[in-house]
Amino acid sequence: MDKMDKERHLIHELLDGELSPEERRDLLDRVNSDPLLKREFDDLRSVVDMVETGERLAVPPAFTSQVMRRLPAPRVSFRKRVSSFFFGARVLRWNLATALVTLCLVVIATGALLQMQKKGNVVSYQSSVEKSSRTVIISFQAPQAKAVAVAGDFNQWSIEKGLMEKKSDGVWTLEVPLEPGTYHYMFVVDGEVWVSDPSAELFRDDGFGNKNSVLRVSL
Amino acid sequence: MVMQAEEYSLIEQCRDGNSEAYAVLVERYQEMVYNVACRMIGDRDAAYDISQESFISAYDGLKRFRSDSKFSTWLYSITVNKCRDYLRGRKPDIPLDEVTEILPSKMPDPEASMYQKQLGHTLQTAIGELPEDYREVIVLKHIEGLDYKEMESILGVSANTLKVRTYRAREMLKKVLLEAGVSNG
Amino acid sequence: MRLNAPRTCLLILITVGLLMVSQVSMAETGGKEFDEIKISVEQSSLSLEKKTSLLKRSSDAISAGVPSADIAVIVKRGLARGMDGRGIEDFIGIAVKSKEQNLPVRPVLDRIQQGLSKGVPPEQISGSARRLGEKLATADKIVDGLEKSGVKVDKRSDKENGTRAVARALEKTIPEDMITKMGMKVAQKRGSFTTFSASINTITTFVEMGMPLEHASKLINKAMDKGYSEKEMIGMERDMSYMMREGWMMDDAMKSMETMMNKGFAGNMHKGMGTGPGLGSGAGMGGSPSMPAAPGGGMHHGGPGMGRH
Repeated sequence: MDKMDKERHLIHELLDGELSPEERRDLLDRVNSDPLLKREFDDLRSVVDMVETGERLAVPPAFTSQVMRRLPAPRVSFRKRVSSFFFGARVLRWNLATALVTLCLVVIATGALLQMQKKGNVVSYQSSVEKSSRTVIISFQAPQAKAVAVAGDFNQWSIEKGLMEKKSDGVWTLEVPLEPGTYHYMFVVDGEVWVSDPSAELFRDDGFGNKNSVLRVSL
Repeated sequence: MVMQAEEYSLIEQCRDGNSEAYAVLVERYQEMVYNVACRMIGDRDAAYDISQESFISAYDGLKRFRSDSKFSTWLYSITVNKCRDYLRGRKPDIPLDEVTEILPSKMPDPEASMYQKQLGHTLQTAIGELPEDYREVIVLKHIEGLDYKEMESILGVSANTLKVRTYRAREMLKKVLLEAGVSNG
Repeated sequence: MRLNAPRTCLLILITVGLLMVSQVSMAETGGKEFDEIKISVEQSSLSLEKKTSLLKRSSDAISAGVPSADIAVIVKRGLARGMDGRGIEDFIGIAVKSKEQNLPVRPVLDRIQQGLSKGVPPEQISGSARRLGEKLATADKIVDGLEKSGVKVDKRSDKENGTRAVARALEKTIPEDMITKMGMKVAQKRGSFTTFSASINTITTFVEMGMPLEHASKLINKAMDKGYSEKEMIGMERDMSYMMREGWMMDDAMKSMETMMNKGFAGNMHKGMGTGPGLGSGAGMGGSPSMPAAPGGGMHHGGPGMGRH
């Protein structure tokens, strides 16, 4: 190992906080008196600083709920449920009236299904929208507030429908199922003060001189 | 390693089939897992999927989890393995198009400056240029702030080897960044 | 098993009857929502004449195809604010007009519902909604023209999104001919309404932020020339939004945006970014003269001395 390599090794040890105060002081003295070594040291320190002070990336909303949805169902209880459904004891009391009503319901249900099939597109479109919708967790920090709601074009700007729940840390949250798209909203604090979401990425004029926050939901 | 009593109790509850308890753990560690995956992979969408898979695998494997290690350490190793699988299943180099997907602003932080974003992008690209094992040590050591001992448990490589690997990784990262036009002073 | 013929028949008849009645009434009158409207109107302090008139207006609007749930919200919210029946009818009338012109009715309904919820004076709401309706009508024509000129429609909702984006731009007094020119550019590049709407929305956001129109137009046209995707356009909006919140002067922000676009950085790192010498040069970005200190604990450590200044 030549001298430079040795010094470089020490620099790395210093960056890892593994040098004693004396070793550290000695190394820094040598670094300051040698321009080449100084350059080496400054560059490495910059690299480490740059990596260490880089931004943390925020996890996309609804991450946890998606994990939870994808978890396998608890096996034992599922089996239990299935077996009790199929093999559990059950008492059925039949008479002609119930039999006919059942038959009647079956006929009506079949008719309704056929009717829905005729409408075809509309029904299948709606169900596909439901499938593609995502649950978005909207949150707002307001420890002093008595009530917070989120009102937006996804809930017809309804304060009642958008009432949020307060968590212990003063953060108010609400889970909203949303289809992919762009939405506009504001928070309503204590039923009367309308505020934009300070953490929104974008804002748009609301047509009345205020700024709505913009939320984008992608697939 | 002594695990916090509360965390231990959560894990026990998960083992008993209480998935609600697992939600608490996911909430607690999602940021950590997601950041590791993003930095390793360089693509947010893929990182999201990997993070999801990591948590699902962890849940499946909770019975095998030994309570003498930290849950986070175990989770790190699952995530790193998932990233390795992903990277090995693809081309060795991350296409730049995909690197550019990652690391825009930290979403809820409206204050992230353009300057920082640029540095962030540059950094991510530079990390993406490192070989996989160098990338791992840079991410764990400097982004996650772990010590060599913990990295040893996660990566299954001796602390001394990891030290040398980290030194080399730093040197290489420095070289890449300098070549990319980021210089000191 | 014992037979009980009369009871059985009665039971069947009741079941069938109930199902049919409920289905018919739901389909014809907006069902539950119309009942809600009725109850709200009946319980209000309006005169009998006004009650009858408002109910008729609501029922007509539903028949015209305006969603009953939206009418219910407008009626209930209007009454709760103590509005006069005529004012509410006026709102409904604006929505019906849009529907009759075959325009997207959602933006108008949204504007009214939003105004009512936010406590905006009724005259201001109806003025704003009416203007929006007019802009939607103009927008609809522009969008139709662009479709004929070759702008592609990928999804069913594409054209409607285009109309909404154009109406929003017109509300911000972005000239029609500028919008049409941008549309023609998309058509020439065989682009779709998704790209068109993204360009129009981005230019409108820039103008809303206070960017002079000609500058906004220059930036967007440049982005269009570079073939920016919808995602990249949104990225530009976001970048500009960050700079504005950080207190950058508009001039500096525009210059930065342009520099970054030239370098292939804008719009969340445009695909043109390479690992070559251009990477991370960040020329002058950190040292913007007008960048103030970060408010309240933002992440402004400003980098560790890397970057060429």
